[in-house]
Amino acid sequence: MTLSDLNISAQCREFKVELWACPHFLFVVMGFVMVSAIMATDYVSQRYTDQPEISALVVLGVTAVLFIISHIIVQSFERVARAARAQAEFIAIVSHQLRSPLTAIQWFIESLQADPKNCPPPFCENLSVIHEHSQRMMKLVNELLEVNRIEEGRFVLKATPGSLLELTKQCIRDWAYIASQMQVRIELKAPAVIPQSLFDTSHTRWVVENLINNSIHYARPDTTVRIRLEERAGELFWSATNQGTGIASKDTKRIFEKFFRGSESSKLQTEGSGLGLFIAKSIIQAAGGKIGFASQENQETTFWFTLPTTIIK
Amino acid sequence: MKTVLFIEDESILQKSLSGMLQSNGFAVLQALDGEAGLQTARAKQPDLILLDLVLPRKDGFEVLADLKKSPETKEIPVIVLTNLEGAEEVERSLAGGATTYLIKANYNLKEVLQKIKETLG
Repeated sequence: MTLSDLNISAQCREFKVELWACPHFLFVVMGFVMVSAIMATDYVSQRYTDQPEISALVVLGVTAVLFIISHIIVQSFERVARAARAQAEFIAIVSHQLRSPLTAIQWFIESLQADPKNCPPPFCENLSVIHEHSQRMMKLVNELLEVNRIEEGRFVLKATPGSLLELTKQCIRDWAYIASQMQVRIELKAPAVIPQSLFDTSHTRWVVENLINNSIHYARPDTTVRIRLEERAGELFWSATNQGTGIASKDTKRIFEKFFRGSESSKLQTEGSGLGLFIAKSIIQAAGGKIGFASQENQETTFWFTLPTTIIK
Repeated sequence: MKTVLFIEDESILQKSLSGMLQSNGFAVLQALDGEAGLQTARAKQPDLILLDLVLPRKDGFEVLADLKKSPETKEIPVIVLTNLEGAEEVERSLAGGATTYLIKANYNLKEVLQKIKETLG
């Protein structure tokens, strides 16, 4: 036992959990509960017996039971908190360590693909498959790192002047090929001009790309993904609507949870991690906006978000 | 012909980016550790330096500080090319005189090449 063990807020910060779930804080709370319970037991036992020995025995018994229960509770919380901390550290270390070899694989493939002499067609096609899979792995690693940053409170947005309209148009261009492969059209409905505003470009791009990606992959072939952008009082409203299987009503409450994948999404797209919407929600909330969805099963689904904006004149 | 010095201890990354640079008309100098990179920079005075931060013998921050201290190398633009992404590393590199900070995992070879061309004007 050292002096630093008595610094409850420092101990709780180390576990990176809410105060109510922090073992050291719970230990203090349980202490107060025990003292109150002992006093109440003493008061009650004195009312029902005039023998001080029996009263003392009752108080002693209740104290022992409470002490054992509180010890078990605090120990359990400590084990959970330590496990969560170890898991977060493990994810951070492994993810960082995975990024370097993955970068090496991707760059090496790209350097081979850049020179047609080194890359005859069948070989080059196989390389593309390896490259695509390494990109998927990199995406997952990056998502895990992002979740780690969110959970450790190291998630910072940097707002710079930009146009959400232009960003959306770029993303649509980037996803046009995938959409055509899935036989889905993308349509944008937005005013001709939307004033520049302040937002974190790279994180907002991440949200827009993810919502467009989901809308395309969960749409029925030969349908249109309708993207809408408009300016409302003090905020930008963005939405993407598709026609597809929709979200099962039993999944609606958990759709933004970490690692959650809806029952239909697992069938339609096996490669998802269940992190995309969790990260999207964290980004939009950190930016002071809102995010949500409306879905009718087997009909259409709309995912939307708002961003409060400081308009650049 | 512009000369680029690439200080990077991962040989596959060296080979990949150097090949891409050479096929795009650049002359490439390579160094696999910080100390060798610093010596090459002083001896050859390249037009641009690509600098990893995690390096044997002398880390990237030390190399950057030495480059910016020396009159013969202080004007050479330095692009930090690393997989470290903490705000502290970014701030320290830019404050130390790096022109640009790129996270390797977020860029493909063509995008790195584009950044190099932009930096060299």
